[in-house]
Amino acid sequence: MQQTSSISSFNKTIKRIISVIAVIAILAVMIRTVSPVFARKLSERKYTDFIEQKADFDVLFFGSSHVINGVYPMELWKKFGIVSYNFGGHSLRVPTEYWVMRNALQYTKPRLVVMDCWEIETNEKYEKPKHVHTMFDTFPLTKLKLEAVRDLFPNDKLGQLEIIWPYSTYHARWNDLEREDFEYDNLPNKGAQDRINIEKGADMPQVAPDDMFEGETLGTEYLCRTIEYCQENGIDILLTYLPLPATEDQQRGAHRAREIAEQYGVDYINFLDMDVIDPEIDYCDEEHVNPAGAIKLTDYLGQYIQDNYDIEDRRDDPDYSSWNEDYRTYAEYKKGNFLEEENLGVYLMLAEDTDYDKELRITNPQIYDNEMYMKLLSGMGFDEEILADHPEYLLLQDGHTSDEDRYGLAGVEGMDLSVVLVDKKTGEQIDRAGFTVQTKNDVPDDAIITTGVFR
Amino acid sequence: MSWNAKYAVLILFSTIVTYLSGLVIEKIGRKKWIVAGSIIANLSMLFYFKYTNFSLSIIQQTLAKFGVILNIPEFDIILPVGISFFTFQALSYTIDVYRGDIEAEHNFFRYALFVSFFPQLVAGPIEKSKNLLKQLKEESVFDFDRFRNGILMMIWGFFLKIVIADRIAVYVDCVYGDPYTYAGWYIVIASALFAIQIYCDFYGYSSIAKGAACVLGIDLTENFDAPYISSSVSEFWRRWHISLMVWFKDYLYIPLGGNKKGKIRKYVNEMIVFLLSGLWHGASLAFVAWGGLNGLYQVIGEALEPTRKKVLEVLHIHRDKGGYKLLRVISTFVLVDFAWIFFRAGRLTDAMTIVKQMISVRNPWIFYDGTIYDCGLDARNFWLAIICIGILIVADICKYKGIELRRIVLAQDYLFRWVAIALFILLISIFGLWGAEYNAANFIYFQF
Repeated sequence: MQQTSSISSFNKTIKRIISVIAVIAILAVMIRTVSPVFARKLSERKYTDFIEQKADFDVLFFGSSHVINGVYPMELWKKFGIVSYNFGGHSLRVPTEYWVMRNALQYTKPRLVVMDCWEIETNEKYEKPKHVHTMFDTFPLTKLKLEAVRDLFPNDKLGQLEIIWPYSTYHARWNDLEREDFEYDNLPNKGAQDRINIEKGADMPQVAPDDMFEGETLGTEYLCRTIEYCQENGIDILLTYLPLPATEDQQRGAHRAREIAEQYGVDYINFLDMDVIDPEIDYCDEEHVNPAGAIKLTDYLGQYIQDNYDIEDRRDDPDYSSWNEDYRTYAEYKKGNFLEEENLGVYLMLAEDTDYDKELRITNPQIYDNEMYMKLLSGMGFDEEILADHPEYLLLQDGHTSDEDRYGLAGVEGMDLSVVLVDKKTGEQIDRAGFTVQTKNDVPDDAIITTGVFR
Repeated sequence: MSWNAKYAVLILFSTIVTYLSGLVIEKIGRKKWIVAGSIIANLSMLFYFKYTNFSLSIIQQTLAKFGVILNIPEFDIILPVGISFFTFQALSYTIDVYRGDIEAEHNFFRYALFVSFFPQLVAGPIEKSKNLLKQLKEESVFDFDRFRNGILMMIWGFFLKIVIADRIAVYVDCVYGDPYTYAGWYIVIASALFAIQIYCDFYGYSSIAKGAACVLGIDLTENFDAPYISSSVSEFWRRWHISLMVWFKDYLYIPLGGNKKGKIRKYVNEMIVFLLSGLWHGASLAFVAWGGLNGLYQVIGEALEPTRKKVLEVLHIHRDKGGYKLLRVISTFVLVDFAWIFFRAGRLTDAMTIVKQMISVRNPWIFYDGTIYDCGLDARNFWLAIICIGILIVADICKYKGIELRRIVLAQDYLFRWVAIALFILLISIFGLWGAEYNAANFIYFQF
């Protein structure tokens, strides 16, 4: 009797333990199921291609929004066959990007790491936690990620919790869910983002090359850690300072980066001292480059990497055949940008892309009188001598400029500028549009305002 | 509000004084001076931390009315969290020993545990020594059903606090923060919501406290019993913050004579209790006004009872009919909610401004043109709050009628139970205001 009673009591205890475990397990499954729905998809969209690729990457780019907007891995693939990924993060400084690099290197061992040195003169690690989220949400919870989180959020348990367990933050998005949270098309631009606009960059003060800030900062400390880690692990490292209308402090930071590069014997490209981009037409806002500027930067970097590092051209490598398919998708995306664009200046900036032949019909002489538009036209590839004659028709085909009307723009009336874009590779007409403009004389630089677009 | 370990000396002082008072009473007999000493020591400490600046400002304002201008500085005195609760709880022990309701506790550490029992330390319920101290003496054996009930109570408490109370607080804070922009019906809605907010905040905390204690094998007093289903203000105060009202009844109202010394004296005693209860809640005339208003409701309600009975008889209105009860419940809510305006405003002048802005502005269009959602809660959050309040109302009606929802859930098959409980927790985690995105309002009653 006593034995039966104790067995019954034991069974009851087991059942109760099972019921507690079952509720916890069901809850865990439920949370695990709904968490991805509530999470912001920025991190996932940024990293999916990187994590899913089994073959190694050759070059990884790290830095702030200047990197994310300024380096296009798909262009590097198309022109140089370089397999790369863009790990730039908005408002992130070197300390955070150091940890992004460490986590990224869990997945691949590249030949070359490129680290941008923006704001190494500061002691900030990041500007807002949401930017850290974008960079870390998709990385799984590992010892390294915990180490990164503790380092980035010292003495801030809540801050650590929100990165370690993103659901603690994202559950609040129940009110903001959109279609994109359930399905979205992932653009295969390998981590890069474009900002489609055109704005004149601010003036940059001049700072002497030997004027650099003294002392150590978190920026310099983590830059040194980055270099040392790469060197210890047999990875080449290239430091950059991508172009922007830098303040005096930022320029001093750029000069200090050069000193650090020399100290460690690594290459350094200070774009602030170079004319790779044109500040009149290659910025999208106060400090970030637009697609035209990004392509120029990317081309420069691609050539530099090809000339100075042992990086293979993998365009014929079967292990990377999917990159060709990705590029086709990316090319379609670029074409789509034209179809949505209603600003003539932005349109012409996008048309600088050498993937397209183009014909223009310009009937409004004010376009030719406008300095910015002349820069855009020459940036598109039109010969400056022919431009100087202000022809009505401009055709750019196979790199040659002529004043031929090949695509029948003569029939277009009432437009100040008409354009036909043709895919160089396929001959397909991507877009045919006409723009009307007016000059705004009360603006000091006589800006041209787009008043209409017709397709 | 911030935490500082050095304020533990206050609870230690209260513990030592009341512990010794019990032993002294046991040793030398029931002497009133021992009780008086304990009361003076504890209330002096409470007075200093809570009422110094208030008292000085009253003195300053009173003297100013007589032309005497005094420049009294405001002292930076931090109000230690829970002080109003643990002093009352400790004092109840002294008085209970004096009355012979309980024997003096000889084990200092057990007694200290009674005063500082963590689930109810910061915001009650204020436990009677004959309830809690007795349980602390008993041997506690793990009981699964009790453990499970405790967890379920805590889950319910979190639902009330982080899903309902903290959500509504956004709306209330917006309106009460700017009654000139958000006047008229905005204030009506915000005031109604505040009644729910403070209920969910306090009841939520009490539920978590009671649940945590239950997990540890201790039964704390029920502090709320469906108060907004009350048909009268006096019934409301039998169902709201029960432990405090019992404390005032046992240690103030009855010693003053209760209802044993005639009607007028009864009304006076009730007013004293409510005024002091108001003062206990906050060192401000607004809290005193809130308490006084509730006292007036009670007194007038009782005074008019014969007249009300007569009128109902003449009109042939039956008190047991649902329609009449519903009317009583709604009118009780309106009266109580009007008083809450003073509680929420915090200052008498602010309360008068809010009342004036509520009455003088007519803006019923806010229900039609979408501007009702301009106070920090968009439409989805607003209606989520309403739905959750609906759930609360159903739960309270069940409680009022003696239906234990917990038992109904636990009586289901195991799979349904497991999924239902997990789903409820999931919904709390989704809709609750917690995590880095929110800066949830502290429990309102923590400030006492």
